[in-house]
Amino acid sequence: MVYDLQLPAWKWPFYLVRHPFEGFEDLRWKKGYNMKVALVMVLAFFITTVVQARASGFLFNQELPKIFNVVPYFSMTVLLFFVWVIGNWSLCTLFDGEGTMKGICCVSAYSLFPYMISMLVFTVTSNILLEREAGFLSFIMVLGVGWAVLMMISGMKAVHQYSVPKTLLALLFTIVAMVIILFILVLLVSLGQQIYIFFYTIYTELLFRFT
Amino acid sequence: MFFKRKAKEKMNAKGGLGSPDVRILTAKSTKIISAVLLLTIMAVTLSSATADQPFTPYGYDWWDDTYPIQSGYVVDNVIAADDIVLNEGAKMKPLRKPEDVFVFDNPNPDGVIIELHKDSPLRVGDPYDTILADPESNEWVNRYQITQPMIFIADTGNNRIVVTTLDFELITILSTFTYREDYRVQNFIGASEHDGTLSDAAKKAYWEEAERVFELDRDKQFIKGKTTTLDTPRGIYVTDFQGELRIYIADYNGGHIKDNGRVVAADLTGGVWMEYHCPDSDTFVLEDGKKATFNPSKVLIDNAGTVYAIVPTISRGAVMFSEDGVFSGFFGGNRVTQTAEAVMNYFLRFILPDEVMRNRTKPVPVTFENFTLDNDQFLYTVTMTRSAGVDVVSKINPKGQNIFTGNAYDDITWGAATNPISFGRENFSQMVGISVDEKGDIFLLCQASGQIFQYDKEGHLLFIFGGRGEQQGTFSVPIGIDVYDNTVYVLDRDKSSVTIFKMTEFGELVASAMKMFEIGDYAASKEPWEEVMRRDANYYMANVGMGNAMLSLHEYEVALEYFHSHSAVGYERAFKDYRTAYIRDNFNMMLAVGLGIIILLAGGSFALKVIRKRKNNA
Repeated sequence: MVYDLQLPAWKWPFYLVRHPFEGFEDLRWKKGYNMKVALVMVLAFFITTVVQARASGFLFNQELPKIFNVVPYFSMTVLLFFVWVIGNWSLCTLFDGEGTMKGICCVSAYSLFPYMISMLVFTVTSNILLEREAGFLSFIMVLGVGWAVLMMISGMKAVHQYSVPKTLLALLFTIVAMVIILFILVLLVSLGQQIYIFFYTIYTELLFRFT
Repeated sequence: MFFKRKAKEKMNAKGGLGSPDVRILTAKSTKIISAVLLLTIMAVTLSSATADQPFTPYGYDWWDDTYPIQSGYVVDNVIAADDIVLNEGAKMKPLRKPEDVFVFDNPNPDGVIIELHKDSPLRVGDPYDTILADPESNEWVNRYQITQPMIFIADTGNNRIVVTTLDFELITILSTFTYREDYRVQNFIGASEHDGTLSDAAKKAYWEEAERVFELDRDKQFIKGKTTTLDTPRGIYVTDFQGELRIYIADYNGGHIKDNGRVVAADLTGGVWMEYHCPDSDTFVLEDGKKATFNPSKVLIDNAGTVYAIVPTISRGAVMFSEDGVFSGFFGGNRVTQTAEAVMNYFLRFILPDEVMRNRTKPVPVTFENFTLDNDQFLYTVTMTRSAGVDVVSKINPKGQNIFTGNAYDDITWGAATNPISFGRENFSQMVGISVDEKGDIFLLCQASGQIFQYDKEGHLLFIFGGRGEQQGTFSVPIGIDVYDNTVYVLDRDKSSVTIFKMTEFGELVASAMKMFEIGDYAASKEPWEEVMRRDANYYMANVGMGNAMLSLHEYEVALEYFHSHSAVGYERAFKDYRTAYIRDNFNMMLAVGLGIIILLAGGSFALKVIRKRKNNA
């Protein structure tokens, strides 16, 4: 089948799912990166995760939350995604990566697509299947995650113009970078809190003195 | 005062506000008075909810969070240390640090006959006979027939056994024991004299033993049995063995711990006919191969006459004696908890030389603290130590393995539930006692929290009651538990008291439902479960029971609702049937929809192709 690769931006994820290897090279060549589509994908990822947590069947969701809180899901998806993007960018710019922030962001977001689909399929089928038929569900999930990882590797390879081993190494160290970023974030937050408390104490002290 | 009483009456009658008496009063004062009334009602409600019990009954939900339920047991009575009195009203020496309680229901319809001296202050009903015991000194004894259940308390601090009726009227006190003429040694002596096969050393040992227990004349003929007293009796077990009442006492010998203790087998008059001593066997050793001492803390005997004794220093299981007193091994020891050290040792074995490994401390299993037998002669053990990760409660099969593991039992959390949501809040239960009642329900006594946990035979939590404290129904150091006829007897070592819990109406309701539930007659259990639900819709087992009842009545959708966040197994079963029924009922429609979708897809893609072709041609 011959594709004319003058695709509108929203069609690229669908094309990439079907062509996980050469697709990303096409994407780079055609400059198909689109931040709007990427952000929609990330948002959809967040929504899918929430839907899966809420709507999957009781038999497969026995840790179903008694009190539902959406914030952890947000940080597990959206926050973690951007930490990934920043971590990857800051690492790969130092190591001859050709990817821009926009490119990395789009490639990562598009790679989430098969994972999202598998999560949705899981949510629907978990309401139909029994626990003894759980094999189907784990198969779906393994397929989705595996496909997404494959896309992520090939996408990173294309966006940075790396060799395969270098890509794998970069991905590994991106996780390390993420850990460092999160550590610094936590540190900053707790430091900020202490500074805030310090100034607040001074403020209350002044209030007591002058009133 | 008037309003308070009115409020109380109203509340009793209707259980609510809106008293018409208030409206008679002037409008101005109505507000104030109704506020007072409201406060009074609140106070009355609050006090009535907590006054009878110093603890709030609660259960665990699907998430292991606690939620309040109706109480299944309430305090019926507390027998303080000096509440057990002699019949004439004279004070008995109060209990001192008792450690075990045992309720014995005599299956023998003739009961047991006990002889008491005429001047004895003890009296159990009316004597049915008076006989001359000793013609020389003209001593008469009264004979009593006891057919009612008896409570045996190992009064550890006073080195005696106290026997009472269920109402804690004293039957007898066993403090001095006499060796009976048919004591085991006598039989051996007879055997040795008849065939003469025993070695000289063995013969010597037998005569030493005989001289220890009997007063013998010059011809080594029996005159009378010597007397003996207990030293720290910590455990007691009573059984009807072939129509004969047998009391087994774990005589710990706490005074001089290096010496061996013994298990004393006696009758109700204090006659000893058997003793179980430290086994003189090469296999009676500790984990490191050193000779073990025999200081039994708990004892029991099964239908076959096998005696099991817990020796706290031995972690290999209960010390087992055959009926004739021969040591026959250890039974039902716990498994080793997989700690980090145990895992590390496993790997170090490959690296380190044998000599080094031998000197490393080996992880040993934790000794269990207490045990009991159920009606089917299964042994249940309970382990107290906090660090015990496995086998906290074991039901041991004849092979010596815990059957409360694997499959459905793996997810049982005995005692306080570990809450997965809050970090660091761990299972802090320290189980010190266990008792299994006639129905097979398991009662665990936790020393850390002073609570009693009631489970059904499959490990479903039914009720939690008791607590720590100084009020009635709470404990300082609970140590012993026994259950008889839906009544729970709990012994407190520190207060030297026995607390009696009686089942409430709600508890009886649950019990009657559980009775049908356990034999699988779910449809019949629907009615009592509905009554339970009416009183407490949150009660966990009621939801599971109702789910099963509805499932057996083929009301799948209702069953699913009950099972949701109550039972995954039940939900799965109900859902399977629900799904089958749904597909059967809607098969035609589903087929039509499926075919429709396929046709639509095929037609759509064909149409798209045609359109594309036309576009390209144009």
